[in-house]
Amino acid sequence: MADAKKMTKQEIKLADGRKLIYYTFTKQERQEDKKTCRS
Amino acid sequence: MSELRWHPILEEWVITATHRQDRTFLPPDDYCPLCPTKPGAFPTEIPAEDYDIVVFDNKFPSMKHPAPVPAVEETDLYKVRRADGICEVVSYTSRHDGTLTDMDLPGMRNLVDVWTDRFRDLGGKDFINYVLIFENKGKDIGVTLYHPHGQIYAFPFIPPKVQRELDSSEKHKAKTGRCLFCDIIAEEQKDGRRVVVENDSFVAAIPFFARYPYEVYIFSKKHHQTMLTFDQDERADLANILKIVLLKYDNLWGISLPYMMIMHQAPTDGREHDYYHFHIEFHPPNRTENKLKYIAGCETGAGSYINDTLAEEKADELRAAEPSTLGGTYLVLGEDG
Repeated sequence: MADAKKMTKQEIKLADGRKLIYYTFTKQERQEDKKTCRS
Repeated sequence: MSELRWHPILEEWVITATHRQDRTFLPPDDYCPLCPTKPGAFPTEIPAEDYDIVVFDNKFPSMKHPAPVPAVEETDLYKVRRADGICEVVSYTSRHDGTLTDMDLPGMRNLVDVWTDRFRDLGGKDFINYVLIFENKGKDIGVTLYHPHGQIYAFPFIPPKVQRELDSSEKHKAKTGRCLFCDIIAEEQKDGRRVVVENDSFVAAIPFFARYPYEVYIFSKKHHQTMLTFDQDERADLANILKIVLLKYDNLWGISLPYMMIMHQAPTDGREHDYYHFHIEFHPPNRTENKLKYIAGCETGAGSYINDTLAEEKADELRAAEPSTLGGTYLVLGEDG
């Protein structure tokens, strides 16, 4: 099972009024990397 | 200026956006607007020294909110509407070099979360009826910035190609009681020759009806309409299969393969579209390492695609391209952890 939420958002306004959102992530569990793939 | 002009022959909206003629075009690396702003250096679009993933309103949007009043008057024949939508840029990483293919698996998994969040946020707005997440990669596709990034267009209408898919899916459901895409997945898995790779939650195939030589579809195995209903494992599996498909593309000829990647999800118009099915389409323009497939007279003029190849043979090539499994590539990383 992959780990739970680890994303945070920070929204700012740029000088010209446009919106910008920083998405920041804490370290992930590596278990999800163990998933295998069939081809 | 930007507005929607009705095409009465094809019965679809055309977006005019004349200001986009002046958008930034392949700037030198030192002036990349998607890089972080370093102290004392050229101020980019992103006023931070570093970031994981950043999303911002496109500086040269095809649609914006609130939209300007159209510059032309409509007539009975030629309808005009405000281009009231949202165009966002998703910068995948603060690193300028590389492509989506080069992102590590945790980074790809983070991107899936960002896409999901943007879909929820934009689709929740009452004036947005469709959210299209896509990426144009490579000069051959017409990118204007090399920094790895994608785009999101939030439309006030359902785009015509999606509408055709909705109509065919609804018709198939009415006729058979089943989902068209679920039937396609079952048919591709039963035949097997066109399947490129699959994991627990997704299957990637060059479908029977492919119009481009290396046109891969990634279908969710479960009948999802959008990413919003993916569980954590499915999100990880999507990152996983995306990474595999992208690596296979680049390993096919040892070049960074250009493509259009388009995510098709149900409209966000407040109606039920339970007959529809989440999928991602890849349309690489290459038919060989050095030759492109052009959307030429027959395709553009008649809407009929001519594919000079067979999906069965091209899928075989992609299956043979590394990685054939995640084994040697990612299991090692996971076991280290």
